[in-house]
Amino acid sequence: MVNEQNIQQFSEQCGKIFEQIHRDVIGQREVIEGAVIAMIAGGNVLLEGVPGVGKTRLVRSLGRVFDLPFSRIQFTPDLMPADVTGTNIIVKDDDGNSSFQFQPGPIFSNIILADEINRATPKTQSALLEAMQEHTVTVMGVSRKLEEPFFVLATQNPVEQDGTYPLPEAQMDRFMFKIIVKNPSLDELMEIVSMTQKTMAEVADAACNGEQLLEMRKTANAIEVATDVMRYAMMLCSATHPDSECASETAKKYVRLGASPRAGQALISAAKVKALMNGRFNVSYNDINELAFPVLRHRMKLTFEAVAERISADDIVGMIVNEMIDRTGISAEKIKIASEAVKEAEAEDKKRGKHGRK
Amino acid sequence: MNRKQNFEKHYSRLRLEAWLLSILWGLVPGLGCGALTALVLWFTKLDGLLLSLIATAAVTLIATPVYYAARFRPDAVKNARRLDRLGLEERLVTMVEFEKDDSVMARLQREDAKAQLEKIKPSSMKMRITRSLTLHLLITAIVYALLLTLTILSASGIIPGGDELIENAVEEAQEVYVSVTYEVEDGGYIEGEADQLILLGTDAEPVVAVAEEGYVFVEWEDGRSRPDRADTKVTEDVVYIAIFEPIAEDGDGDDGDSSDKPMDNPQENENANQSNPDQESDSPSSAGGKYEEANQIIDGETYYREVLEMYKELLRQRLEAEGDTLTEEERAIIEAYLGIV
Repeated sequence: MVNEQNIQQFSEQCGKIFEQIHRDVIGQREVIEGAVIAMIAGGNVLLEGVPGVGKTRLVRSLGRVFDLPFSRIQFTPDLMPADVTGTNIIVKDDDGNSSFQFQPGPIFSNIILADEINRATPKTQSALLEAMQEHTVTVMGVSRKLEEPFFVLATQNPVEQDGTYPLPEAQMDRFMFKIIVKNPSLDELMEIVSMTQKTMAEVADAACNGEQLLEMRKTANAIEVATDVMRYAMMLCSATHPDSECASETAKKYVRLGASPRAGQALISAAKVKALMNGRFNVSYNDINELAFPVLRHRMKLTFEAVAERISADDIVGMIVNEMIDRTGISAEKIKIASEAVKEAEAEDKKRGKHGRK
Repeated sequence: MNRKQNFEKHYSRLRLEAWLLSILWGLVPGLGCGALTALVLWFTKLDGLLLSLIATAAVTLIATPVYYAARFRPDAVKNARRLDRLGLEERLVTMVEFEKDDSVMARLQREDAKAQLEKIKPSSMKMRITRSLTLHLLITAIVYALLLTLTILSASGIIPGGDELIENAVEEAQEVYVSVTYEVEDGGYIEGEADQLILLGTDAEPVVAVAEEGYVFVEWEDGRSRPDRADTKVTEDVVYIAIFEPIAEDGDGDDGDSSDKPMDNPQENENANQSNPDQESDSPSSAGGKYEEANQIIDGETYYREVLEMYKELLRQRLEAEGDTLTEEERAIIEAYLGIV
């Protein structure tokens, strides 16, 4: 049962967590907020960004701040599933009898940093599937439960695609968020360089432990979601499907495969945490709209038309959100879509319409 | 927790807005009914101002409470949604939905929602007049004003009534057609449109009655002697029949018509046809008879040189055989043809 003390603690701990992480990571506020929301909500996070923007450092800081055991797995093409999950090895006892004994792999930890996850073969990538979803690992027919809380924080580089294996849809769907780590701004860059000139060491202290984290999750889950807001969130997920009853025009044009029901679950769980973080005891439309980007961007398969017109998944999510705001007439703020590709596509559409060649 | 208590400050304003919207929407059928009344009165040429205004007011009065009850009456969830739009981030919708929840979280949520609601001034709620309402009102008001003006002007005798206008318009719009038919008896055909359908009072297209070989045009049934005709200002359905008759084989063609149209000599005609086979019927000069070299129309008159020669020969033979003298009638014929020649 959640009490006022839990809510008070949630607020205090959130403040501490952000304070400590910002000691190690300069800028990247949205990335940090997204990662913390996902961790409190119990989801896995895929961080995508070019090398050197602080992905690994952020994950390490999260491990330190949450005071949880941390394992790092550097994914390479020759990494085998057993290297991740662990395997049975033959051991001899004092009497000289041989027997199999399970040697746990690095996945038996609370926070897993799957660095450059797309460099491993699909076989190894899929070794994470069960752990990510059910928080169990099965080796040689024996299932072992992973210790809670359990998170996989994976990183991948979007530019170096040679020798990589794109994550299959099934695995992508198991990431609650896909967070894009952008290059730091000029001021942030100056601050990063100034700080690292003094020391490269991570200085963040623990702000909460695993037990407290689970308590925070329980507190956030207690938040009630109004039916209107819940329906809007589900409509948003459903609108990503080109053939659903509430399919958006954008999805019909640019999306081949929409988000799964896991997206709806992730959206509501994360929105509850976000609302409580902002000192609210209810979920708003704006919470849903803001979280739609990290929740939906990796769950849609785009059409050839979208790829040809260079329209990104974020552009599509933005367009779908705006379409749903218009359709439902809710009071949420519209998303600004700054992509040049979208503007060009819209201009092209107008031109086609004007000349009747649509 | 009393819902009304939560929205106390805002309820009266929301109710007022609901009534105003109901009145405005009620005006739409009211004005429509007023316009209909005005239209009826315009046709009956009665002074419709008062009656039309009464109809408008009556329907509006009936429609307003119906709209209020069915559509705009303040409802807790609707009000909550409305107030949430003022930046309350769905606090009130959640509060209303979970008002019976006694959990700590629900209680805190209610307290938070009420605290936020306190910050909202009722005056910050602007009445929402939708585009649809504006459009409906505008259209009905314009139609109503137009028809009411027409009714008043009609009742004053400045403009005609609706029934008169429509009758005139219908008459003007009606296009009456008449048929003009040109028929022939045996021995000829009509060159041109034989069956014509033309507007009442307009001219028919010209036609020519052309005789076939061995026939000659006599006249039209209505007495017109020229084979060509162009009837003007036709006001009724008419049928004109062209009359032809065969050319006499024995050349004894001194019948009644010989005074102005002597009969052709068939023998001579045959000769003429043999010498000019291409000009038999295509020649523009063939109107009213068969084309022959000797029977050409010159300056509107028929030149029957061959016929004249034939008659002269017949006359000479008769005078030689019988030693008779010319009768007055014969002399007149000869003089007439000589005059033509």
